[in-house]
Amino acid sequence: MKNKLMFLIGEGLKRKINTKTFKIVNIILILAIPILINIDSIIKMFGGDFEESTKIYIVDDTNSLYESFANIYEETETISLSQTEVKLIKAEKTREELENEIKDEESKNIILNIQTDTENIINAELISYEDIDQFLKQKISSALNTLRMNIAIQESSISIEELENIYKSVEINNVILNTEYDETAENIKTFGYALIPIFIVPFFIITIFVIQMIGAEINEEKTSKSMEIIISSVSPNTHFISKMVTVNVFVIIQSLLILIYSAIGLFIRSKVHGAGILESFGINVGQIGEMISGSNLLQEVIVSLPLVVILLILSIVAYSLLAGILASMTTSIEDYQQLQTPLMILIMVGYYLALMASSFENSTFITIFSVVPFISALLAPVLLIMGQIGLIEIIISIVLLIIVIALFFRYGTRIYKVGILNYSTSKLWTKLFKAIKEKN
Amino acid sequence: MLKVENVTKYYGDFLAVKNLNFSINEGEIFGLLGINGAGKTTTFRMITGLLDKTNGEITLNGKPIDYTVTDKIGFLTEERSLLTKLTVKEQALFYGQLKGMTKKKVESELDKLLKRFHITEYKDRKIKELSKGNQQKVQFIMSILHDPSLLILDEPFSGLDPINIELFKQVILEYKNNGSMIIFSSHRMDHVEYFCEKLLILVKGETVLEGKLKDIKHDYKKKNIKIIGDVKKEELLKINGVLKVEKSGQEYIVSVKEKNYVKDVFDYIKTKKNVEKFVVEEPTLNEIFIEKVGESYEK
Repeated sequence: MKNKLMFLIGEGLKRKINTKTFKIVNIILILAIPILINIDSIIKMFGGDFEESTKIYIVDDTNSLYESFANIYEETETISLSQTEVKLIKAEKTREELENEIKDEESKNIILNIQTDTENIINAELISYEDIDQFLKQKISSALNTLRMNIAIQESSISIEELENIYKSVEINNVILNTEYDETAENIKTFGYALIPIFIVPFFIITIFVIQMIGAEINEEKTSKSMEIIISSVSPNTHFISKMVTVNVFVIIQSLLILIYSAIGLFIRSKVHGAGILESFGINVGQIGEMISGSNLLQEVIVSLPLVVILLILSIVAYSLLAGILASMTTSIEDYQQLQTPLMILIMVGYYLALMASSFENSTFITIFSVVPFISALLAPVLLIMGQIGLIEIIISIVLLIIVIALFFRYGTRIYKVGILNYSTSKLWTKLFKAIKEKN
Repeated sequence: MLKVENVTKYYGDFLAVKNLNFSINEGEIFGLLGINGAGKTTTFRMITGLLDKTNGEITLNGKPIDYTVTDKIGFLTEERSLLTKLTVKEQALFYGQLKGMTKKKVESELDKLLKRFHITEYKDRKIKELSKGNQQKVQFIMSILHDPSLLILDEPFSGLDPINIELFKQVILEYKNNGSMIIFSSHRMDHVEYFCEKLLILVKGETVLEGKLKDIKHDYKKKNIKIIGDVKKEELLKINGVLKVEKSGQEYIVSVKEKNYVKDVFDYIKTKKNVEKFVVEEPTLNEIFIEKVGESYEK
C-alpha cells in the first residue's frame, strides 16, 4: 500500500507538471515576473516625458531675488509627495517669449514671474500650460514666503545672531514614562507593518490555490467514476493522503519556481541599477542593518521563525484536509465551489483581522482569534511582529491545529470513504453524520 | 472460486441487499440481473472491496476481499470510469500500475489488446477524442489489462455496434475458456442467455430467482408453442390452459399455463389443414425476468 501511495503521488505530480497548461503558465511567469520587477526600467527604456525634469524659468522683475529664491527653494523641506522633478533656471528670455514657447510646444515647463508691488512687497505669478502639481505649488509658495520674511527681517534692525535664533528650530525633548519602551523595537515594529502584506498575501493566494486544486482533483476522479477503479486498488485513506501530498508538493514546486523567476528578475534589476537588490528599490540597507544589530531581533527571529513556519505548514495541511473532505461530499465542481464558501470566509476573516490588527492594538477579540485554527496562520504571525502576542500564543495555535488535524484524520476519512462513492445529494448530511459514527 | 455467503448490506436503515448467496467457479459466467436499484451495484462494490458489507462473507479463492485480493479483480462499470483527459496509453499505465503491473508489462499487454480490439492507432490519442464505442473498447481493455481471475462486466455492450458486440462476445468467451470467473450484468436478456450458465435475479435487494439457466427454464411451468397454419386466434384463446396468443408475421405464439396443456392445443391443430409448424419451446429469459420482477414489485 505504501508503494501504491508513492505511485499515486508520483503519478499525480507527473500528470500536473506534464501538462501544456503548466508549461505555458510557467513560460508566461518566467517572462512576466522579471518584467514586473524591472517595469520602471522598461518604461524608461522606451522613453517619454518623465525623463526630463520640469524647468521653472524664473523671470525676476526685481533683478535681485533669483539667487536668494533659488537657495531658499533648495533648502525648503517638504514631505516628498510631489512626483515632479524640478530644475530652476534664471530666465534669459522675456516672459512673453517664454509663454509663447510653452504654449507652442504644449510644454510642462513653468514660468515663475517674481515681482514687487508699490510697497516693495513680493508678488508672484505662476504660468503653465496645464495645471501644476499641488505639492510643487506649495513648495514654491513656501519658498516665496520665506524669501519675503527674509527681506523684511533684513530691512529691520535685527542682528545676525538674533536672526539665527529666530530661525533656529525648537527642540522637542520627548520624555517617555514607560521604562520598557525601546525605540529600536518600535522602529522594527514599523518595519514589520510594512512586511505584513508581503507575508499574508502569498499565504492567502497559496491557500486558495490548494483548496481549489484539491477540489478539482477529487471531483474529476469522482465525476468520471474512475474513483471506483482507483478505490478498488487502494484504500480511501491512501487515496486521500495521496491527494493532500500531491497538491501540496505541487504548490511547493510552483512556489519555488516563482521564487527562482523572482530571483532572476531581482538579479537583472541589480545589474541594471548597478546597486544591491534592496538599494535598487530605494531601501536603506545600512539603516535596517543598524536597526537589526541594535536590537534582539535576530535572536527573536531564530526562536519564533521555526514556530511560525510550523504553524503555516500545519494550517495548509488543515485547509487541505477540510477541502478534501468537502470535495468528497460534492457531486460536481459547481457543488464544490458552493461548499468551499465557508473555507473562503475563514481565510477572509484571517486576512481582514490581520490587516485590521494595527488599528486595534491589544484587542482581546483579535488576540483570541489569533489562536483559532484556520485563522491563526494569517493573524498570529502578524500579531507576533506587532508584539501583541508572544510565543506562547503561537504554541497554543500549533497545539490546537494538531488537534484539529487529528480529528480530521479520525473522522474526516470516514466521511471521505462514504462521500467519494456517493453520487446523490439526497440526505447527504444524514449519510455523512452516520459515516462519522462508523469505524474505519 | 468466488463465494458470496449470506451477505447483507444496510445503508443506515435502508436494506440494499438481503442475505445474498451465490458462488462462481473458474471458467463460469454468472448472470446477476435486476432492474435499476435492485442492489446490483452495491453487490459489485462489496465484491470489489469498495463497500463494507453489514453481514456475511465474500471470499475469492478462499481469501476474504481486501486490497491484497482486489488486484485480481477486473471491473467494467456501467458508466464510463475513464480519466478522459489522459491518452489511452497514459490511462493504461495508471490503472495497470495501480493493479500492481510493471510499466513494461502494461505496455506489452496494451499493445496486444489494442490490436485485438482493432484500435492500435488510438494508443496516443486522448480518450475524450474517441467515439463512444471506442471509449467502451478502451474501458473493456482497462478491465482485463491485468488478466484478472474475476471479471465483473456491468453492461459491457453499451454503445457498441453489432460487429463490435460480436468481437466483445468472442473475447469474453476466451476469458471464460481460460478459466476466468465472470459476473455478467445486462438488461439485454438475449445476451445473458447467450453467456450465462447460472444466474440470479435481484428485486429490491432480495433474491427472487437463482440457479442454472437450463434448470430455471425447465422448471418454469409456462411454455410457448409456435404455430404456422390455418388457425384462428379466437379459437386458440378458447382452449383450456391457453394464457395468451400473439401473432408475429405468419406465426402464432401461444403461451400455455404448463406443459400438460400442450396436448389440448395439439388436439385443436389436428383438426386444421395446412399446418406447417408446431414447435413447443421453453420460455425466453426475458419472459421469466419480466414475470418474476413484476410479481415481486406487485407484492
